[in-house]
Amino acid sequence: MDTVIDIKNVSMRFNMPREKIDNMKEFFIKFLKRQLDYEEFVALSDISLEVKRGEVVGIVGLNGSGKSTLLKIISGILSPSEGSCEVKGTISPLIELGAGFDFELTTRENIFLNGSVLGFERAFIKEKYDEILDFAELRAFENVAIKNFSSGMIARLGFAIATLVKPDILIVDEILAVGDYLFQQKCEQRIADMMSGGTTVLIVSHAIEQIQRLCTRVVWLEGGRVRMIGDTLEVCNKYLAPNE
Amino acid sequence: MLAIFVGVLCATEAFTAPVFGKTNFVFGFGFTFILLYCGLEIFFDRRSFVKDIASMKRYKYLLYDLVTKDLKTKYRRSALGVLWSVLNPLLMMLVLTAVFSQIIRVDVPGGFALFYLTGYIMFNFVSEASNFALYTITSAAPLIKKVFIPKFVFPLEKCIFSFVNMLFSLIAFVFVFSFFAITGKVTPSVTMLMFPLPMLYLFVFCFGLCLVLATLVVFFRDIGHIWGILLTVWMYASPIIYPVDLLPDWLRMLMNFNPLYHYIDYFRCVMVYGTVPSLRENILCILFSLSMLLFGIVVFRKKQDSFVLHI
Ligand SMILES: Nc1ncnc2c1ncn2[C@@H]1O[C@H](COP(=O)(O)OP(=O)(O)O)[C@@H](O)[C@H]1O
Ligand SMILES: [Mg+2]
Repeated sequence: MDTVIDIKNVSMRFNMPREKIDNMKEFFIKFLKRQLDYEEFVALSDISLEVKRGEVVGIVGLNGSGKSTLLKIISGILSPSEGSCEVKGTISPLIELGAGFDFELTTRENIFLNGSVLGFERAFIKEKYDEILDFAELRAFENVAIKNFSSGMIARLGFAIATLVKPDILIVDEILAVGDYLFQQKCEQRIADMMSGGTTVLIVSHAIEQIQRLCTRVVWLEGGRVRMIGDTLEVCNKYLAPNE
Repeated sequence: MLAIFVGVLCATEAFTAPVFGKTNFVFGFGFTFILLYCGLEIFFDRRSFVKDIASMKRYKYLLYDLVTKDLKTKYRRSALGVLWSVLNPLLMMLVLTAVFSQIIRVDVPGGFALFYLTGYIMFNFVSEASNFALYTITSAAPLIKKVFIPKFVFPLEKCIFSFVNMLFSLIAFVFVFSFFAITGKVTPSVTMLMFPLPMLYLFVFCFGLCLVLATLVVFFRDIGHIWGILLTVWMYASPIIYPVDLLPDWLRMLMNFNPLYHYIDYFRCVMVYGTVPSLRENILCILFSLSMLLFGIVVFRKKQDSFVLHI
């Protein structure tokens, strides 16, 4: 089987200047006084991971352990401070749904806007327009500005658009927690369909039960490092009861 | 490496001397240096460069959406709509024509009105596009932090938007030109059909400039204020309200290094004077545009990965 995601010794540091310097006067003063030191925050350090085609990999870890950062590096939103991350094929990142939604615009307008933000063809969105509305169950709200929507409704719309195409790699970050349980089932069904079609999946979830049900392999991140990597059951058990 | 560099410089020097005349020394070195540097930068990074170009195709709808959104906001929500793009240059022209042709008495062929209008239209495009482009990256922060988007889309969008505005303001030119043509002061000429060429040159130049500005602002927010001042200086340093003939020799020499002078002059030649600029002028314009574009691309690409950490 071939490798579709190849992460080699990836580190991610965020430079957090002690005080935010955003004008030149301060910059020069600080520069001259050699006070330009940054508080470095290491969000990920020396992560290596290989994912083969068709695998379903779960990522678990406490809040702030770097799960989202890792997914953002894989999807190209962030580029790592060190190391390399090579990805083969198309990616659908379900990290922040509904990027570019304009809350003043209607559902209809937002579908097209979000479609172009995600790089879909105009004709393709037109063709799938009804399918999106049906899946998101928002037909009655077609011409309503989305500022009046509940967060669940917005997530539904975002999910429906982002999962239109069957990508080579699907990245899911804690988004299955939104929406009511019926919609969650629908989302999971759609993801399961993609998996059976050979899509490689990376899932972050706090629902260990879900991870156990879906994943073939699990990565456990702790404080930006890989604590454990391996068989689903083994890692999950250890994660839930680290002291035993 | 250095030897090759100097070699190429000297070779270009010899080659370009007949084309650039007196100022050839600086031009030859300047252009060769920038083009060579940028060319090498891009060459060494060609894989991701090609990827970026390929992504352009995928995001053309986003570009289209952003431009239409801007145009709608500008033209639909104000009562006078497109009229403002036409009226603005017209009013400016009236005021300045009153001052410069009656009080100060600047004499230019074809009349001051058309002289000023052509310069104003060109300069206004650069001024508008660059002022918009300054904050494109910082204001696109919510998008850039959430999804992968080729970031050059944002400055490019503002350039296209301003370009469309410039096309609208050409209507003002058509009005004024028709007026003078009827009264017999100017005659329309076929060279006017060449108008897209100087505009294209200027667009390419301006896009490069916008890339540099948008990058700088991410790291130094107060570039925004400085740019306003620089633009004013640049306006007075360009022959918009005065013809270059009025300048002393040494200033005219310096004027050669102002790219805007060449673009404006080109535009005036084809639009008002009915002459076609020489090959030398064309080459100069192309070199200015190409150098700025490549320089912008290199600067932007070097820094684009760290934008997300600073916005
Ligand atoms: N843009 C950023 N600037 C500074 N720190 C960040 C940035 N993004 C994430 N971090 C930090 O990196 C750490 C890991 O974040 P994240 O990957 O979102 O964790 P998780 O998704 O596992 O909860 C957090 O401590 C967070 O504060
Ligand atoms: Mg997270």
